[in-house]
Amino acid sequence: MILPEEKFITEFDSLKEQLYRFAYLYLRNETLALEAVDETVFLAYKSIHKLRQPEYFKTWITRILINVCKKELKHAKQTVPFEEAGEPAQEDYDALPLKDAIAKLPEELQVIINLRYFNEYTLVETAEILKLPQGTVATRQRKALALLRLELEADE
Amino acid sequence: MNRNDEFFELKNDLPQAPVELQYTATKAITKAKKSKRRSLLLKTPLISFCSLAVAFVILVNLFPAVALAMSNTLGLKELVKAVAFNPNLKRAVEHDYYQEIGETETQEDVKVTVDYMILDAGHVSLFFHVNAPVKAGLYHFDLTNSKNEGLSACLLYDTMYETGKLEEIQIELTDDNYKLPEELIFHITVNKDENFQASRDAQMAVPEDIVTPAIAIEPKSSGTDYNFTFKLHPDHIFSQTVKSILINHWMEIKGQRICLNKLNIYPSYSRLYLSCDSNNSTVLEGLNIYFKDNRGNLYTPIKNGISATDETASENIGSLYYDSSYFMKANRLTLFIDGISSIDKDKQYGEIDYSAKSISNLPEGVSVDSMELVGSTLNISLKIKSNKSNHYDQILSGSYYDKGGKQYDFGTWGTGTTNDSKTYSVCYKISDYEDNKYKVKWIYSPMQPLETPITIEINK
Repeated sequence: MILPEEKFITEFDSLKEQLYRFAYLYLRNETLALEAVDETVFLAYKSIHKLRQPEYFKTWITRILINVCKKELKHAKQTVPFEEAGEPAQEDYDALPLKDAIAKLPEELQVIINLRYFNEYTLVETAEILKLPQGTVATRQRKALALLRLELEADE
Repeated sequence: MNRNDEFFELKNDLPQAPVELQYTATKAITKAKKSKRRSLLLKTPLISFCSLAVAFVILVNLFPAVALAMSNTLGLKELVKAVAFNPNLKRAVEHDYYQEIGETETQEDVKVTVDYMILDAGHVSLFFHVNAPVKAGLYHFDLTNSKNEGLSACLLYDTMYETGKLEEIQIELTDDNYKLPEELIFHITVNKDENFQASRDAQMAVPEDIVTPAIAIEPKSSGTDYNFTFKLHPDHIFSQTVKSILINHWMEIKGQRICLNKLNIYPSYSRLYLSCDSNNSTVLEGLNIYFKDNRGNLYTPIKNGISATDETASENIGSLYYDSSYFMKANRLTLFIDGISSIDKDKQYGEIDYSAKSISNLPEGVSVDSMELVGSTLNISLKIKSNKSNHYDQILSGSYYDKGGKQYDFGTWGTGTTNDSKTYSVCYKISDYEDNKYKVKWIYSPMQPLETPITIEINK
C-alpha cells in the first residue's frame, strides 16, 4: 500500500471537519452526514491501493464522499432531478434565506459553493474533485454566486 | 443583514464534527480488514481443494500460532448462529461490529476460549466456549476491574455450557455514567462432571405440573472445578459507542406530569429515560410507548415495565428498553404513547390479613387465589386477569416490609398458569410469618389506554 495505515488515519483526521461539513451541507442532516463520512472512510481504505499518488488523498476522498452523498440522497428520494425541477428564477433565490437558496441551487452549482466557500477547497482542487476543466468550475462558481447575490472572492 | 453577512453567519453556525468521528478511520480499517477476510472465506470454494489442503498443511506446520488460532477460536459462522435470535446483535455482526478476542487457557483436559465481544457504552456480550471431555457442565463467573472490584452492571447469563458451543454472557451497564474499565477481568470456574449429563436428563424427564407454579430446578454437580482468569481489553472504539438524543419533553397524561428526558441508542438496544413530577398523585408503573422511524421500522419494548436507571435512583426516574435503531439509516423517529399504568401513592402498600385470607389495596384485576401457612412460611398465590397469552407481570416488588419499615426479600417467587385461560397466577413466600406484621408493595396496575394517543417527533 502506498499510504501506510497510520498515515491514512492522520490524513483522514486532518480532513474530517471539512468532510463532515461538506456532507452536512449536502445532506442537510447530522446523522446522515456522520454515516456518509463513516462509509466514505471505509470505502477509501478498502480501495486505497487505487490511490497512486498520496498527495491526491484529499481530492480523492472528497470525490468518494460526493458519490456516497449522491447515493444517500437518491436512496432517501429527497432529490428532484434538475431537469424535472427546472431552474428557479432569480427572484426565487432573492426571496429565500441563504441556506434555503443554496439548497435550491442546481446540484452542479451547489457542490461548487459547498466545496469552494464553505470548505475552502481551491479552484484547482475543486476541478480535480469534479473532474472538470478549471474554466468550467470558474464559470459555474460565478453563476452560483450571482444567483445567490453573494459577493465573495471568485478568483484563485 | 446583507447576503455576505448571512453567508458568514451560516458558515460559523455549521455543526462541528461530532465526537463519533474521532475513531472513524480506525473503525473503518478494522471493518475493512474483517470484510476482506470474510470475502476470502466466501471465495474459498473457487480455489481448488487440493491447493487449499496443501496451503493448510504448510501454514499449520510452519506457524504454530496459526495452528493454535485455527484450533481455538470459533468461526464467525458460530457467532452468527449465537446471535441469530437477537435482532440487535445480529445486525451488529452484519455490520462487522464485534471485537475478536481469541484467548485460550488450558488446565489438564479443560480448555476455555474467549472468542468475541460485542460491546458498546451500555452493554457487553462476551462469547466463549469450553472444550472438555464431557458433553456439558456447569460454570460460574465473575467480572471485575483490575483492582478486583465488581462492575456496576447487571449480569444476565446461563450457568451451563455445552462442550464446543459458543456461550454468551450479557452484561448490561445500567448506570448511564458508568464506563467500562480499560482492563476487564473475566474469572470463570468450569465444572467437569462425567455424571452431569445423566443427572440433567433425569431432571428434565420429570413431568411438569401445568397448574402448579413453576419452580426452577438448578442442576446439581459434584465434579471438579477448574478456575480460569482472562484479562480482556475492551476496544474503546466500541465501548464508547452511543448516540444520545436529548428530548426533554414534558407532558401531562391522566393528570400526571411526565418528562421524556433522552433516548440513548446503543448498537445493542435503545433506552428511553423518563422522569415524573414528584408532586404527582400516582407512581408511574408503565407507559405504552413505541417508536417508528421514517423508513417504516417499528421499535417495541424489549423489557416489561419501567426499569430503574441505577441503584440509587428514586421511583420518579426510570427507563424503558427498545430494540436498537443504531444501524438503521433513518434520521427521524416518531414516538407514540397510547397507554399508562400507575398506582395511587396512598395505595402502594398492601397489609396481609391471614385470617381473612386477604391483602389490602389489591390493584384492579388482581385477587388472592390462596393463602396457606406451612409451618411458619406463608404461601401467597395471586390471580391476575390477562388478555395476553404467555404474558406475566411482576405484581409485587421483590421485597416485603415489617411495620417498622425493615425490608425482607422474598426468597422465591414464581409464575404459573391456571385452569382459566384468561388468568395466570403469581406465588410468593414469606418466611417466619406473623399476623399483622408485614406489608407488601404493589408494582402492578393494568394498562389504561389513552383516548388520544400522544405523538412526539424526534430527530435521530
